[in-house]
Amino acid sequence: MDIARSSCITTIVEKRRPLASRIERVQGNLGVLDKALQDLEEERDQLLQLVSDSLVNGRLTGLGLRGVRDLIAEETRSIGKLKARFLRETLNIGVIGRARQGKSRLLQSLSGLTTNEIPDGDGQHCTGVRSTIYHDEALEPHGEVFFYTEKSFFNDVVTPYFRELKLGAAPRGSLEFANNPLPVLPSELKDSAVQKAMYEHLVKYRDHLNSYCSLLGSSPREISTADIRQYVAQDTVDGKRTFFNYLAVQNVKIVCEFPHKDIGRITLIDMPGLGDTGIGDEERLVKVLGQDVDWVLFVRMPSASGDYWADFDLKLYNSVQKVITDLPINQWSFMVLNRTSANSKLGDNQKNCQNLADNIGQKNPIEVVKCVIVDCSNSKEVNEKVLDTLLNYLVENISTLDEQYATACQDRLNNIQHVAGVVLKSAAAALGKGGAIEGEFKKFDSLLKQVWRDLTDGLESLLMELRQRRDKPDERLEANIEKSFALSRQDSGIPQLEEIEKIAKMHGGHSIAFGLCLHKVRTHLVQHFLPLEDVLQVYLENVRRQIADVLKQKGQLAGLSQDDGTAFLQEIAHQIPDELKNLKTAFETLSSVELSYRGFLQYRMRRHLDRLTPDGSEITVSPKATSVREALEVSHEGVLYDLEEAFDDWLCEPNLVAHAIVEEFVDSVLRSDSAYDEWRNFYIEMRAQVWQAEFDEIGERSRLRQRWEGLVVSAVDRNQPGALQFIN
Amino acid sequence: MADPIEKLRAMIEGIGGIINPTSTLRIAMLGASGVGKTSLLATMYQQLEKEVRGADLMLTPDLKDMAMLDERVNELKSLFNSESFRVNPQGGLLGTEDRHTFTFGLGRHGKTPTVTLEFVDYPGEWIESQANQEHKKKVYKALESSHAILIPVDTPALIGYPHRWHDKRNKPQLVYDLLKMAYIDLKEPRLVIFSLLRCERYIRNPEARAVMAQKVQEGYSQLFRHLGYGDLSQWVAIVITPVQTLGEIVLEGIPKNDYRPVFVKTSENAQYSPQDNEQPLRYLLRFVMRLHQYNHQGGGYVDFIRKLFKDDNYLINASTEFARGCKETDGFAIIQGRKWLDLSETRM
Repeated sequence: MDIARSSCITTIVEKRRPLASRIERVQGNLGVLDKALQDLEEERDQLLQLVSDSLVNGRLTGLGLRGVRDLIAEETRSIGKLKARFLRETLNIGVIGRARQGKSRLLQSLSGLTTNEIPDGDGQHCTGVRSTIYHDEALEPHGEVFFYTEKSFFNDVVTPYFRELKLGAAPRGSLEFANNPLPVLPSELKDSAVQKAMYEHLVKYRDHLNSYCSLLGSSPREISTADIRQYVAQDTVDGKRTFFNYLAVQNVKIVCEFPHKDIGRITLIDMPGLGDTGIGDEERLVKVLGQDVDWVLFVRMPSASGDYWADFDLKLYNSVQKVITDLPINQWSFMVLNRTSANSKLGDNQKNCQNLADNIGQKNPIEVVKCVIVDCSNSKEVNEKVLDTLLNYLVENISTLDEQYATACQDRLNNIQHVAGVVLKSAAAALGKGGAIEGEFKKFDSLLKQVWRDLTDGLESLLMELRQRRDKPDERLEANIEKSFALSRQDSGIPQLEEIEKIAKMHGGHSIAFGLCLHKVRTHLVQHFLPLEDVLQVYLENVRRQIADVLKQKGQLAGLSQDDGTAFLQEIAHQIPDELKNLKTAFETLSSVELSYRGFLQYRMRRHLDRLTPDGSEITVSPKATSVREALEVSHEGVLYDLEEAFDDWLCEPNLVAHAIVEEFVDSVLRSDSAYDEWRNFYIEMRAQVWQAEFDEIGERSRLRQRWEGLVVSAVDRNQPGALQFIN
Repeated sequence: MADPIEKLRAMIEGIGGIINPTSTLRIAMLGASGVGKTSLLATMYQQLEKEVRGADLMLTPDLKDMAMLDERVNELKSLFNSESFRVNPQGGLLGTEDRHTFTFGLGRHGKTPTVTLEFVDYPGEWIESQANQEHKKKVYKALESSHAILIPVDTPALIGYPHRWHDKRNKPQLVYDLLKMAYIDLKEPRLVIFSLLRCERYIRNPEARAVMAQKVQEGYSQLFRHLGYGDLSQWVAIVITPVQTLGEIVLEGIPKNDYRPVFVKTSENAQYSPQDNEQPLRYLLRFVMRLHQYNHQGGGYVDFIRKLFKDDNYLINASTEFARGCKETDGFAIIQGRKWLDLSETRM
């Protein structure tokens, strides 16, 4: 049983570790989330200075960022305690009781140490040095002494006295403490015994400063058990020598082998001063207790002459209750009632022990797992009645308690995640929708109204102009085509008679020569029309330039791009957000449509060139070069007549095409159902560039908005469900 | 050249004198001068000799016309005389015509012609520019009493440079106006023949040939709509007959700014080889023979046909046989009034 219990304790301790590391990750995530919320909070405060819109202001002010951060701060502390609990190498039992209740006796009985290491209250009152006593069979018994640093000494020890006793500003260092007389205790506190006792302590700290101040800030000191007393007590056991070292000691760690067998990794913590007349800061002690103990033994020695559960008992109990709020204290505490015998100088208190034991939890809120009556100075009895019971209880219940504790923390973390989510959702919506702060819309809408009118007017006028031209030949194209014809007539590429003769001889006949020459002439003819490619492109570029000019001047979009014509339209297409599909597509289509020689003229010309192919020619030649040459001439001439006739029809087409392109664009960007809304959204997005003078401030705000939205997104990213999860 | 008004007056007065209501088949020609009407008639008469030699059917021009028509055929032939591909566009192809009535006799070889065919030319531009109301009424009257109307079409003007030359050369609006007035209250069958002239280039090209009838209907859309509507659609048959007066001389092209179509020979050795020039006549006789059948079936049509053929059954059979040679494909088409052209009934 004992062996099983010992290894059970080891298992319990080791099972806690992984949880500790998961808590650590959550702690980190909490920190990151808190930082994101802090950034958002700072940004919010800046925005409040800049935004005049009362609605937006109200939303920003109402954001519960501070509340979430407070929750995070509190929970960071809570899970810090949980982490410390799970990181411990041992199960810790805190021993708590007011002075002279037998607490030291109990510790001596449990640990096998003597009054030399654990001073009892028979002599001077307690020192306030906190001792932790480790059970270890393997090591030589020894002690480790930890001293205050000068800073922690003044902060944690001296300052609370000054505050509590209303003595004004506390000294911040030894010199200041030593060189200035201690302020007099305020008269209103002079009648209080507690305050007077505290004041006496403080006097002692000051008067003996020279005796111990050299120890402040010293390294931990490993000492033999025989030397422990001079760091934890005011005098030797026989009272012949006085010590002041204890005033500089923060805590003492004592390692020894407990007399009881197979008890495993157990540590006893002596928590002096709690419930006693004000040594040190109770709040600080509670905090330490919370991090360090798994179990509490309250020690109370009923008076032989009669006793009851008094206010100080309640106060002490309540203080400890606050240590771990997630676990009710009645699940992790024993009450040890210290029985004294008739032959002790305190007399037999058996009856009153029983009386208090019977009354525990009756008409008083003191509830514990178990109440044990035991003679604290009787080691055997203590080990059997207290330690054995306690260890069994620990083995059976500590895992459940851990789980209960952890679940409570996790529930709160989940709540933080949820609350933060709600707050961030409000934050995301705080600046309003549509990319602008509501207050700006009035100005924006009136500007847009004007621009929309101008833009509509400009595009419709351009369309009207193109409509009037659409059935007319394009003059520039006409002139260029005439040039092509003139060149074709001038330079027909028809071979000279000698060459024809040569070809006929080489290829076996004039008829074949005619066919070959037709290919030559046709190919040559086509060359004269290739320059039309450029003409057509320039033509289309002009049309696009006209549209771009309208957009720049009437639509006031000149600020969006330095380019002209097609490049301008491409740039605008690029800048239009994807979700404005209709508008974006219209610009993309307009800037990409081609009017090329190949697409527009080449295939149409081909049909008419058939007469310049051997198969398509209607002419039969005589077997002589002159006949071939004349046949080539009339064929060439005939094709030019036909092409002229065909071009006569096509000349209007670029204008038709231009009109069609522009009309389609205007239909998409002005006349479709979503047109106005899409333009509006686009102008909202671009307002700072479009109306630089009017919207400089908004431009700035727009940047602030982007910053704000970025911070919200970043905080949302850090508030993902898994981030704060350490148990499922 | 005589004063146009005088000419018109003479022509209109002449109509009354020429018309012999009992034995003359009258065909009105509505086309611009220079479009090739004389050539059409010359080649028609000349080709008929070739085409129907076996059928014992002969077309004999009036003596006063014969020399001129022969001369025209010679002119057409002479176009092929050059050693070049190029053809002088003047003369036969763009010659002005001075005559306005051509009379032919139709009959058996070696016999006095039985039937008189009278082609009367109404040059549209004269009517358009010179005629007063009274003259116009007489023209309408003459058109209305013609058994058939032949509309020669300048095909390059119709098809080349759409809308640019067609209106000027073929005057579709005027043709429409005249027929509209002439056919008010029409109560007898009539045949309208569109004869496409100078169409060699197009008829040789399968793509162009396929859309030929369509192009005619587009070019004369107003007229087609009018004739295809209501009572008129019941009385008026319309056919399209492309004729090649030259054969191996084809359109090279039309210069852009001037309607002077350029023609070339298809080879240096190209031959005068007219095609389908007798087709308008075949359609005319098909129409007449149909009326004759209709008459016999108790259709109540005028006894004009009987009188026309003077009960010469031999001639009637020969004519019917000849009429069966009408082409209906490759550019030829019956647009409406097939019932007035249906010779599916057995011969007499």
